[in-house]
Amino acid sequence: MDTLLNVAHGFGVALAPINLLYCFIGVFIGTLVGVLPGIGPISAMSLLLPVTLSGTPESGIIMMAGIYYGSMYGGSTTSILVNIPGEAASVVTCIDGHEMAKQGRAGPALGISAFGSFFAGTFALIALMLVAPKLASVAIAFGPAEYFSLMVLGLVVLTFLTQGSMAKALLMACIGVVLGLVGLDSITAQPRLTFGRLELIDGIGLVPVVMGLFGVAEVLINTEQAIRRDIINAKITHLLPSKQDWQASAGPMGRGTILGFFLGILPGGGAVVASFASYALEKRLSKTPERFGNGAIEGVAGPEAANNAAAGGAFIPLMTLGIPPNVVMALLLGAFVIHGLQPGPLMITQNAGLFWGIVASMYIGNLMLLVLNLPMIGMWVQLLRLPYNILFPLIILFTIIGVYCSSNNVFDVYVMIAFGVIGYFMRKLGYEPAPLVLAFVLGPMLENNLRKSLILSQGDLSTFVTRPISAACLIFAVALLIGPLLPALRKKRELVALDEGA
Amino acid sequence: MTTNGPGAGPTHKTVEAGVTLAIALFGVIVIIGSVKAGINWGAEGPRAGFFPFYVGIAIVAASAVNLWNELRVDDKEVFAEWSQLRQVMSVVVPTAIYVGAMPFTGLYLASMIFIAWFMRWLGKYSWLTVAAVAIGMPVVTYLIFERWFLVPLPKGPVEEWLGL
Repeated sequence: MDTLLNVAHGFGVALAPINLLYCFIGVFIGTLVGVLPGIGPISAMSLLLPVTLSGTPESGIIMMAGIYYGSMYGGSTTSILVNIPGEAASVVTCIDGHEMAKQGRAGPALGISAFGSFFAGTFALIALMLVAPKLASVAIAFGPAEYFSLMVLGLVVLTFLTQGSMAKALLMACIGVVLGLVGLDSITAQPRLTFGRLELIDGIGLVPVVMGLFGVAEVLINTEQAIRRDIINAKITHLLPSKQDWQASAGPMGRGTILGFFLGILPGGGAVVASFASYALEKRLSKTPERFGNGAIEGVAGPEAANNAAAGGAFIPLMTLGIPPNVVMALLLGAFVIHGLQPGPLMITQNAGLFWGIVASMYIGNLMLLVLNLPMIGMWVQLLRLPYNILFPLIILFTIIGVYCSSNNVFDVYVMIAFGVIGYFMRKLGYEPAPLVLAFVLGPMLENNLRKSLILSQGDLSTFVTRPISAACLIFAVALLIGPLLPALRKKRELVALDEGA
Repeated sequence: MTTNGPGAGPTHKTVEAGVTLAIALFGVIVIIGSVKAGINWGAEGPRAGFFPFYVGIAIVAASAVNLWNELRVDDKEVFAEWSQLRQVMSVVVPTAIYVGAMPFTGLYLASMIFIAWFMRWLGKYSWLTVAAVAIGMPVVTYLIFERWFLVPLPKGPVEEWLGL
């Protein structure tokens, strides 16, 4: 009963006119960046991070969350119509979605992806309501040793699931941790790794690093290669899928939702892995696997449901433990911190209005996407014709403004450009930026908890293995580190490992 | 592999080795910085350099392993063609000049020149389109950020002269 009361309260917060407006701005901008290549939800969210300062924490976070799932939606639109995934989670949707569009079935493909997303979003919301408070009540008992081991596990899972060499991903995570530690030490308040530079005392900002690695690097990669655009021009009709379409999609949607939700909770999993996993699952379960790749509606419904459910699931570790499982959640954590809020086990009880308001607004946002975007698809398609030579300087202009706004400091703009060039080389050489960014956020927390637990145990390292939860996390982490050295497991990892890009 | 024919460019191996060395160097800097901050046990528990010191060692060790792996494989693959690199440089260099000039000229003037340069030289648009976008965007930016969100952006002499 308590939960229901809270949910009602949450809807009250989410339905306040100002929050509705922010929710709308969020999903609108989200769809826009999802449609445009070269700028994804990660760049857009870090761009708007400073803007959230001007409103209440609820409005800011509602907008940020809106950008995230709006971009999922926009990404699928371009995947289906143009065969360009606007962002990484819709790469799979290209395979069958664009094939359907070529056969003149763009309408049902767009329709099922919208309904699939909505269905999954609804499920994820209900699951979040049921699971999050329970988990939070367990997490209250966690000490620094548990947090340390959990974060280690999180980073290891992320590097395990990242595409390409795991050694490189681990290296990126190490670099990210160190970059996060630059500046004043959180325990002794002593500057370190600053080498006497005043600009570094406050540490390196999250926004310039993210914008450089995801925004600027993306532009550089795109200037190198000309993207072929294959726009479907035919008028889009029959957005409502037929009865057969529904029958074919119901199973994949349900399975994709559950799979996506659990993968979303895992650190590093997130929407990208969920969509690929769902596609692989549906293809394996299908009686006619040869249809996949030739316009099977199951290949659109499953992954689209999975990536939305994962987006919901990813809120769980952030809201209950304060540990962001992926880069998008790391940015949301940034938005909480800007407002002086620390997500964690206590937030659900102490800030019930905020927590349930955000959850409810996700539901409303999904509904908005459904109602607003189906009629607006034509406009989004027009946007795709925007030439890159106009788009790119504008993206660079916006990233510079975003970075400057976040700190009022030109030094951060230099940091961003530097990370843009670094990010370009990293991408080209198979170093994924996602582990770096997540480790950058987790680094200070990781160190803080490590040192706290060592102080508590008076320097005895065995504290990490004698506490059961901590020991279990560390054993699992070690298993994942050793696992890829065994040839049988290496194959498995290649199947599931994917890049989580912009 | 440094001839100038089409399809030529620096090899993947060379660039990769260079990047790995740069990462190792970064690790060494981290170790030096940590030692300066103190890596042992102080009055308040482990000191500031304690954790970064070990991560720094891990970075150096991992890049050594990576370098060894890279040098072992015989890989003649090209990292990127010279023409592609030129394309990338044609974005990086003006961007660097642009942000370098920003503290002196202000954001708006620098952006106008930057957008105009991009569209005219890389996009070959007509002067009219160039002028419309190059002047229009900074004005829109001004209205959105400074008027609506009330965030001040870097300004230079021109903005001062206009009294904005």
